[in-house]
Amino acid sequence: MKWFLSGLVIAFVVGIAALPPDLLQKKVQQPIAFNHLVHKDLDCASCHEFVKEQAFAGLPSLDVCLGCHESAVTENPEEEKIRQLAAEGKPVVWQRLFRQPSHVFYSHRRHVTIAKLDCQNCHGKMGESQSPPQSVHNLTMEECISCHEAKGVRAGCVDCHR
Amino acid sequence: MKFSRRGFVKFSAGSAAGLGLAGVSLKTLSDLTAATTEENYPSKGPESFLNSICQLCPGGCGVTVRKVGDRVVRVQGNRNSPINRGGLCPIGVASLQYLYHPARLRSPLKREGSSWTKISWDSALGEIGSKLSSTVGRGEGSHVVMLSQELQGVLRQVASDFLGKLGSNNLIETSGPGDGTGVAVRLMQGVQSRPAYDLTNSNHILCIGCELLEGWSSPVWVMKGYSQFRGKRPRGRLTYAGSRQSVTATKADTAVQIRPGTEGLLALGIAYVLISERLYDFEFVQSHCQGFEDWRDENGRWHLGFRNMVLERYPLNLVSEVTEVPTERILKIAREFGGTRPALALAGPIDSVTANNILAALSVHALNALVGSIDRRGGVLLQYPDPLDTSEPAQSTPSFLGNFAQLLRLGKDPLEAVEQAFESGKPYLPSALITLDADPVSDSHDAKALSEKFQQVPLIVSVSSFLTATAQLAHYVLPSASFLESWVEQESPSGIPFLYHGLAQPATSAFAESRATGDILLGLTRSLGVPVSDEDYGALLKKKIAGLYERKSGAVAGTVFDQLWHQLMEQSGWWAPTYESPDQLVEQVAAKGGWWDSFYRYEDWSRTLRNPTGKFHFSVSGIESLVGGEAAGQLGSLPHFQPPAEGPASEKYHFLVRFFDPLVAVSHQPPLPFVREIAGGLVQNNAGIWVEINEADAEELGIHSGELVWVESIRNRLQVFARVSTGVLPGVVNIPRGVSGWSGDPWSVGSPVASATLAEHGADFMPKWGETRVRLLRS
Amino acid sequence: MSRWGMIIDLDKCTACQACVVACKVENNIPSPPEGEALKNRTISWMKLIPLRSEGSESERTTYAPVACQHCDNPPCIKVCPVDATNISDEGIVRQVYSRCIGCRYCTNACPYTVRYFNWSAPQWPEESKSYLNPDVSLRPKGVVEKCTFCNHRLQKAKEIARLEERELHSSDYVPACVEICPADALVFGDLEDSASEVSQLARSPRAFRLQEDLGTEPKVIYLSQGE
Repeated sequence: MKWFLSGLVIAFVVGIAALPPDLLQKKVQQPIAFNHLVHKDLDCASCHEFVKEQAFAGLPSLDVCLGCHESAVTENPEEEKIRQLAAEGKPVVWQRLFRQPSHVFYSHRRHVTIAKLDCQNCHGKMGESQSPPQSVHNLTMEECISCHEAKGVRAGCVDCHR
Repeated sequence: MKFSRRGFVKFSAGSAAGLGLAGVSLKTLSDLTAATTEENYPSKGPESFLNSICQLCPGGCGVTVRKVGDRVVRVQGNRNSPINRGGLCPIGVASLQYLYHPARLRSPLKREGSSWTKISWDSALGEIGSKLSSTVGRGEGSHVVMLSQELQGVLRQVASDFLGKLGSNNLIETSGPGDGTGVAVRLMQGVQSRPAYDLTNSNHILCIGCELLEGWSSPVWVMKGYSQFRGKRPRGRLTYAGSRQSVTATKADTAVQIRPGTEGLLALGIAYVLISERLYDFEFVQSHCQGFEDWRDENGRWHLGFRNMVLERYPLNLVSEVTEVPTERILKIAREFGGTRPALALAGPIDSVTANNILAALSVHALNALVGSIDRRGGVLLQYPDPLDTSEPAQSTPSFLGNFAQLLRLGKDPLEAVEQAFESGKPYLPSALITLDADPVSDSHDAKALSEKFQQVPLIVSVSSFLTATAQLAHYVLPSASFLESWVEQESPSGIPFLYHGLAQPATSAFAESRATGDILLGLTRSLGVPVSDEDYGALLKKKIAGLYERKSGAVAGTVFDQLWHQLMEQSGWWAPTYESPDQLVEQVAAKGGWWDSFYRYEDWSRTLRNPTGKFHFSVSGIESLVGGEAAGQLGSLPHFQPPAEGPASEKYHFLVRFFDPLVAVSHQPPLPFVREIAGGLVQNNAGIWVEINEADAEELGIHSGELVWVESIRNRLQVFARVSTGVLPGVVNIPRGVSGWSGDPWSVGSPVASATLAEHGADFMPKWGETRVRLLRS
Repeated sequence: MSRWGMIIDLDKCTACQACVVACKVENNIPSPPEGEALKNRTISWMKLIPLRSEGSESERTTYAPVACQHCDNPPCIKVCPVDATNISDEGIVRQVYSRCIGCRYCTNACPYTVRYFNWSAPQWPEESKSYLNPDVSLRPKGVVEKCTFCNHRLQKAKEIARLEERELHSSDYVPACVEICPADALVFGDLEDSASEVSQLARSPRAFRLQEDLGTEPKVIYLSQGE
């Protein structure tokens, strides 16, 4: 029994550490391999159009893309996908990369417009990525609290958990 | 450490299990995370607000919807609407559950045998069009019947145009029982227009059988008015007399319980005090009334006047004995009513067109004349005609109703006339029946009989958002959009003392393939292959509203401040429009939710007293057959008392049942879960119909509050929840009407059968609402 | 610092229960699963209760809307073993769902019985999920919930005031029940501001609080029916 148990414990620990992460998280495949870096001259709000006015930032709709890409700007086949979707009358379904539990409330307007935080504070170097990251970032309370403590900002429970 | 082979095997087995466990834990963990991530939450989107007008009852409240992306997440009152000023009733708030109801119909349906097949709009309209055309070909076009809810302006026009193309005039709007005071106003003042009530300016409201706070008139407008009535100084006083301890009773300063059916007698008792103590308005009665004093007609015959009739026949001790109200309380009520001006007396609904009911309404309205509250501040007023109204309810009687239409002007529920016509089969059985957002089978007092008759109709088309009991009998069901998904027009609701005309754009896109009722009617008209304009319903509405531009008065709905400013301007003869062209007017009206004109000229008796004498008539004509003709003798045309013809108390059915209409039943729409919850909230959380029973009676029968009991009449039996109360008279039970569902409703709780099916009916098939007896049995 | 409070004028209230439904819509409160209502498990942060009072003429029954009384001295927070319920510096009694362990001490301690336990996970028909309010979470099975004075609306109002670089006006923040009331019987505002409508009404001779003798010091103040 001793052997069985030690095998159980060791394999469990090793397993948690070594099992492929996609068991925990499916890889995220974006519909278009978007390159943030080549768009770096644009303000984030040009495409994430609600980031300053609403709680959510908004993933760009096809219309936003078509605003510039109605006709070809480059020869990149990924760009062509925009017009292809438009021709098929389909929406572009981006996968969300930064996620939080549904019982947590976060307002972009509050952090971006009022507190004037840079997007990098939470989203890191997303703006410089050249191909879409494939893993989801599940935001943790630890991340929120450490920033709130560092900046000496109030963090009441029901401000986020409501 | 010794590592035996046996140990190795165990270790391996353990590792395998551990690895499996790790995998499973991770999987569970990821599932858990997935369950709480925002992916499972309805979509986000930018917040926006739009105005619409609630159509779930005829009240006409302006609503503002809050949208998140395409989703409607809140319906609240529109602050700019002069009707409800930001308030809204629970049904309006719950209209979201109508919009997103799980049983909404997605596409047109065609019945094949006992099952339904989805078909396209084109085939549905095509097939119905050709069937109707061949009906016309057979010469039966005039026998097509349309049953609808109460319609507004353009929709009524479109509906009657459609029927006109078929050669039919059978547009029948099933509006429910008439308002008693409204019927009395028509009879005693000789007018056709609808009455209006100056609630906020009144200092004393006397409700005799009128459930002021439970859906009477335009419900939210009444509540707003009630609030101002109570909030002003001196504070308005409310007196209630009725047979049930209703919300209005609990809110009244003085409330008396009377024997059911004696409302009219109590009014006459109050008149006795007003007259004998000289508390009435001499000036008004002398100058503007006819039939108060004894009078001589052109043939020289003397007629008894109201004054002497009351003094001779209705002394207080008699009134007290029959109504079961102590003499001193009648005295107190009458002195308060006569002594606090302006005062307003309101009668109950005309449940059944009986002598007792009609005479009660007349007796109550006679009190308004006695205190001079006719077309005066704080009294009974008369609505101005709508400046755009080109479609008054049809002047010609629908041929289908034949003789059964006779009592409609006395407040008879048109649905009852429809049931009588079906039951008798005369003058004919409809060649086709079209129901427009109406569910006559669920509303009927004899659903079974009506269904059987419907099954003999060769073609039934039901325009409905749900597969209601009526739609289940149809050959074609066409899914209609809710008011939140359609253009909406709203005329002044009955009772409000100002002119209002509302217009609103769709607040959200129509669910699945559903279409606005107006557009469905236009589609049906086009399917007949006759030339019609190709404009849609919204375009027709906008064109009509543009007509207001020519009126050069009134204003786009605005805030209370705007209202005061506008009134001040109009009173001084100014009119400052906010618009410069008809198009701009339409745009503003649709954005704000309406146009209105608050101007009212009091004491305009040449408009409001339209009898040949130009006076208010205590003695009315046209009710002789109802009150017993010659047999009634001198009293014939005067508001006198005739006891209700309640069935004799029998050994078996010892309770007299009083049907009442709670606020939650003002809408003839499917019962929404939130509305059911609040109805049941009064009965210990139980959703569904309930029966109110006196404490002592309940004890005798061993019935406890919250328990399920059978209520059985000679006609039907229902299982409902008991609510034991001291506020119920012994020997009487109260049951709400209009709270039921239909069998296919996933949100329906309890018995889908309406309590109306308990009602006894006479040889004429008219339900005897006030005269039905039941017994209660423990389940 | 504001101290939020509510006036309920029973002389104006028409017992229509629009407040009850508006609350359910605003706060994503589902209808109870079949059969649960009979077990008294309906959640209704705002509810209408019959109130018996000695009137001038005789004992009479009237109806009063009752929600969390947001006591200044709340008995519920004293019994919570995990600090899942506490009172904010603006006087709002809060419930932290993610901390609640579902022991229900608070539901028993509350003399107004306005705390509700989630006996089941919230459920809506698929179509009806469309009307869910994105500002309020869906509470899981096993936690206690109650009226929050629509705290999320306060947060939003503050956010907007800061965006517009101004002070918060009392009128910026109204709970859903107050906003909908067709009889203007509910009034909301800052009890700390002696000029506010709520403060003025709180000084009315008609003012009373439910079960005042318990010393809970509610911030929901009723005005009795009558003159």
